[in-house]
Amino acid sequence: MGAKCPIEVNNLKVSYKKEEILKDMNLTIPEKGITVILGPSGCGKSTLLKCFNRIIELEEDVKVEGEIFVDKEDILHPKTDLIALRKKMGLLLQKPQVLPMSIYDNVAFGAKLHKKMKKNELDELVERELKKVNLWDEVKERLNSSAQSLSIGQQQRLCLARGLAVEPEIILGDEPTSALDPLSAEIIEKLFLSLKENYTIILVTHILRQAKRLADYVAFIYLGEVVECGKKEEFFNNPKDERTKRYLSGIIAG
Amino acid sequence: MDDNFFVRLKGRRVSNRFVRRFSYITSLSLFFLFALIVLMLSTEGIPLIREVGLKGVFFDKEWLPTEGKFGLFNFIFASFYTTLLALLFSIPVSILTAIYLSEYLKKKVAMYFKLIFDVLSGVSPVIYGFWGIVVIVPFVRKTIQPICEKLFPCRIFLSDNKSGFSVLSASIVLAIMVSPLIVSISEEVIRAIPFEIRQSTASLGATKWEIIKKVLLKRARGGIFAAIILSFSRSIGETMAVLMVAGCQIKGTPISFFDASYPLPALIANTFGETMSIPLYKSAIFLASLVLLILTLLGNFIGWIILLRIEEEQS
Amino acid sequence: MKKIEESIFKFLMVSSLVLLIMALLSITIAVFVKGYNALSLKMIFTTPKGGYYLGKEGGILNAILGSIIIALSATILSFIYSFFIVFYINVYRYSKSNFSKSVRFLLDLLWGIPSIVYGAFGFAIMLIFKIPASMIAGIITLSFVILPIMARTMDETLRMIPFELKQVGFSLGATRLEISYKIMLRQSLPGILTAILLSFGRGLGDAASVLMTCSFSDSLPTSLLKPVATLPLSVFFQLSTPFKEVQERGYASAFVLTFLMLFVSLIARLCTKSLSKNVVK
Repeated sequence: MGAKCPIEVNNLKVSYKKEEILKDMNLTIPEKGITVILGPSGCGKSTLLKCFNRIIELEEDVKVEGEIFVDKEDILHPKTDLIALRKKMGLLLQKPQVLPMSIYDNVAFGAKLHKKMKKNELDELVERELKKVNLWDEVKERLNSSAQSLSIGQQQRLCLARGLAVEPEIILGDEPTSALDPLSAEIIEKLFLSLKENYTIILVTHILRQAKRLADYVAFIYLGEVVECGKKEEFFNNPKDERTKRYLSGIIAG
Repeated sequence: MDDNFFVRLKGRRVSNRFVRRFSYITSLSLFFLFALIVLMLSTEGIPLIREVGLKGVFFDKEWLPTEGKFGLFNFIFASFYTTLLALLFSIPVSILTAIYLSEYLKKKVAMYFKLIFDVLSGVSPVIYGFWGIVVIVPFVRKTIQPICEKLFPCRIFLSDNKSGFSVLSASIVLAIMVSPLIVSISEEVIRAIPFEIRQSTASLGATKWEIIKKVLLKRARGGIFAAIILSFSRSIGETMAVLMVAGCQIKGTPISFFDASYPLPALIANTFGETMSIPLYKSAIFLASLVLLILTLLGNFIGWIILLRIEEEQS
Repeated sequence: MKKIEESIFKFLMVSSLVLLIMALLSITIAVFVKGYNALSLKMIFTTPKGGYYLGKEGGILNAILGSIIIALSATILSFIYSFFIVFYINVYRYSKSNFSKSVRFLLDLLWGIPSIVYGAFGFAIMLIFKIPASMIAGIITLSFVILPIMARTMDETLRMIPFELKQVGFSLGATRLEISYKIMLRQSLPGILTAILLSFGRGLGDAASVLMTCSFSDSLPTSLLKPVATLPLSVFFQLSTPFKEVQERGYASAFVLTFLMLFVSLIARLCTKSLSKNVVK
């Protein structure tokens, strides 16, 4: 399954109870590699991320307008197949949220939904995905114990494996390291770097240094608007917008 | 994504849609059930009003079904009398307990007490009735009634009824039954008051008791009021325990604490079997149920609205 | 002066607490002392001979079995009913939606309706369809009585489930049905069990509704269409007779009833712990 899905956001507007969170957003996200969505907290970057797999609509009183093209299809169109869309995108939340079941079942959960699988196929899948996130060696002895028993850093890796098991093309990360200790955060960051060859990764963060470490492309969002976007080097070395300069120099606090 | 996925997805969608519709109908049927309860009791109860008139039903003191007299006044009065007396006993004790649990005890210790209240408030009403018969009724008959008669010989303490099965016994049993409810709601409301508020008052030099008296009780009064209203509802609808200890004799309006009391629910429970043959008698019993339904709904409505508003303010 | 006021009130508070605890304790003691003396194997394993109200021989097996059967059936019925409602308002609808809120509010109102009124409602329906006092009438009426308790208790546990857990389900491409029974159900299992046991306990103890709908009987429960004995009514009827032997049966019933209810509530608390192995905190 080749991943060729540049994402294009056209005139995206999101409001919550009549309060505008995203105002007229335009953005292109290139395929493959890591695109970092950068901005101070409360600027609407998580909201943007949750628009991509339309998780945003789960909350009440949310209104979404505009277009988001993935694979040349407008996913905000009412006829979009939400399940197929969501299968295409893996989401990693801020705080790792494991499912109330064993480690094994956590990884197998999504895959089992979409495909009828035999026991040995599932075993293979679980092993493969856990290896991808470097968790296999740590948990292979206790696949049947509760996912709750893992450390928080391991839980986040488990969540990543669970997402990868449904064979997504795009990975969405909503500040996935912010609840972790520095060591676990580093492991997750390394994983992203190793995954970027095969997946389009969109990461939301407010940490400048993390953006510098991981990004291929950067989009800076401030107060619900895209201020500037471009390749990493250009963005950090030669910012054009005044607000970007101020953010980079730490005047706009994150 | 292969075809297999989409075929499977179709099946998943179908079952999902089916459950969605079915559950929606089930949820809606709850409103239907509620309407049905109101409707049934009304259609069965209204004929009596049409026959005897509102005044004849609610203000007539005579209950002589064989002669076509269906005055519910004494029963309604007895219901309010017993319930209000029960609340009079229960409110101060419960609120003091609630304050003690939330302000003077550690959360964990308070939890144990609340657990005891919780478990015992779930015990069957007939067990409370049982307790009333073996403990409270004899106590009222042998101790309270003679003492009161001697000390305060006025109408409210004098009665021909020397059995102990009385307004007072019923009220005491009811008070014990509803106290856990008032305690647990009040305790929660008081405990939910933010720590900062206590702190800022304490920093002004107020003692613990002053904080409770001037700040906490003032802030919690809505919730406490809701607790009282809810327990009013609970106790006015309580049937079995009251039926067992109130005496339940048709002997005029109860005035004294020691008169026998015959509240509405007891009337329904005692007479429904005999009513089948006389249409108006039957209607009277359903009308009594309707009155009870309206009273309890009203209480619950007010109580829950207050509690919901408090909950929304906090979040 | 302030100090004195505080000490007086503190004294009053402690005495209030002690008073309430003493009263509740005295209930338990009264039941167990009176009941223990009346209890024997014969009492538990035989049915009353010569009429429950007059006959001086026999025991309360009819009431024990009747109560358990009625409460169990009503619990099952109301569980099925509330299961769909509760999952609908928490998974298919947003928990805080107006629809969910109004269902919740309605359940609170239904909870407040006294069981005698449900009894009258059941009785009215029985009159229309000409159903005599019977076990089936009792079961159905009782299931309405415990429905709000069941549904609201289950609802509280589902409502407390973090929103993120649902989000995870959706983002993996699960349907709402799959989220319900594969994620939410597992997460809320302890809470659901508590709700079931709580409702079962309430069903065992409720008297007013069964008084009006399934009457009482001397024999063991055999048919859905015949009257059936229950423990609460066994206490109620047999205490009001002048015969000491019959009253003993009432005491024994009170003992068994209280024991069962306390036991169920104890189990509820124990099970909650052992079932929460996989539950995400």
